[in-house]
Amino acid sequence: MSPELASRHFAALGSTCELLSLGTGQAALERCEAQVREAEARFTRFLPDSELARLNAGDGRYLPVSAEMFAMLEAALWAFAESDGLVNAAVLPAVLSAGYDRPFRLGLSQPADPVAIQLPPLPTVLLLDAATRSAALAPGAALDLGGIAKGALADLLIDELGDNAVCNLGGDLRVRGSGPEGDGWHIGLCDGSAVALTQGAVCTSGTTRRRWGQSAHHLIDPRSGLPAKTDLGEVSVVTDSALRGEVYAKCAMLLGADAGVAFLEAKGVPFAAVPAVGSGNRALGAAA
Amino acid sequence: MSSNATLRWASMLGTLVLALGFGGVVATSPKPAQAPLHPAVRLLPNDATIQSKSYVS
Repeated sequence: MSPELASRHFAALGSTCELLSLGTGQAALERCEAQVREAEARFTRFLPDSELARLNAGDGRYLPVSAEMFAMLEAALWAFAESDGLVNAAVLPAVLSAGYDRPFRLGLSQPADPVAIQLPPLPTVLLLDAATRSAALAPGAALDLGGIAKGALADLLIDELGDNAVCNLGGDLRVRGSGPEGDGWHIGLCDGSAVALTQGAVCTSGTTRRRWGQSAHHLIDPRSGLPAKTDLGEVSVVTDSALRGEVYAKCAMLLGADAGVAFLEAKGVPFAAVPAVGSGNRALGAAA
Repeated sequence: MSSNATLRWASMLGTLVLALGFGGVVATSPKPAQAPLHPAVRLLPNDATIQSKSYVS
């Protein structure tokens, strides 16, 4: 008798989450959902009493942080280094300047004259002290852990779902096991294609959603301090971990079609890409 | 791959089985570990059943 497929869908992390598991039952999915919600309360920038909000308001003082926050801040520093600074969690001042100052579902307005915010390199404004498990953020700096948190959480929470499961947190998903058909879980990518995989992650970044005003969107280019101008609309990346996938997909988006494809090829990861509307819709060509 | 789909894959997908030569399972820290793992990745036909989807959120 085949194990029963359990599924659970819920809104969290500003998006839709989907948990799938074969053989563990609903209880495991409910425990995982509870952990997602706990993480959301910790890492959100929209609740003034969240741990992230307290850190952002720390004004340069070292503050004790939870083990979960410390690990996430380490992940943010890793992402900065891995992306040569393209994935910079210290992006929040630019996100706010672009008008993303409240949960997206409440509606945003684009400033008439968006101001480019010069963003500091994350390692220059975020200091961690492992001995005391504390963190200090330079005055004026502020973190947005949104994308990094989704990827890192998917990597962590897949363990809650057993040996044959999918943890999909707002499109950043981690996969493990042979899936319902025995050949791996079938995962759709941004261009409508699909892959089967038994281990790994699939993550997508893009500018096609979370748009407001005439041209504002949530993907900030830390080099300009403004919403990214890119000829890519969406990129899906297949990697070993969702955190890495989140970082690589965002890098490709920010680099644009030519440099982004070269970046992903250099990393040796499979990917799918869709051009931005109005970019000429040119084909990206086949990989060598 | 069709150009309409603007799909680009690293060339190793042509072999159907891809060994991702980096990283590892994250167990206790969000930072990807460096131990290699070798997940199998296959490109599915257009009419394949999809169980989940990666998307922009």
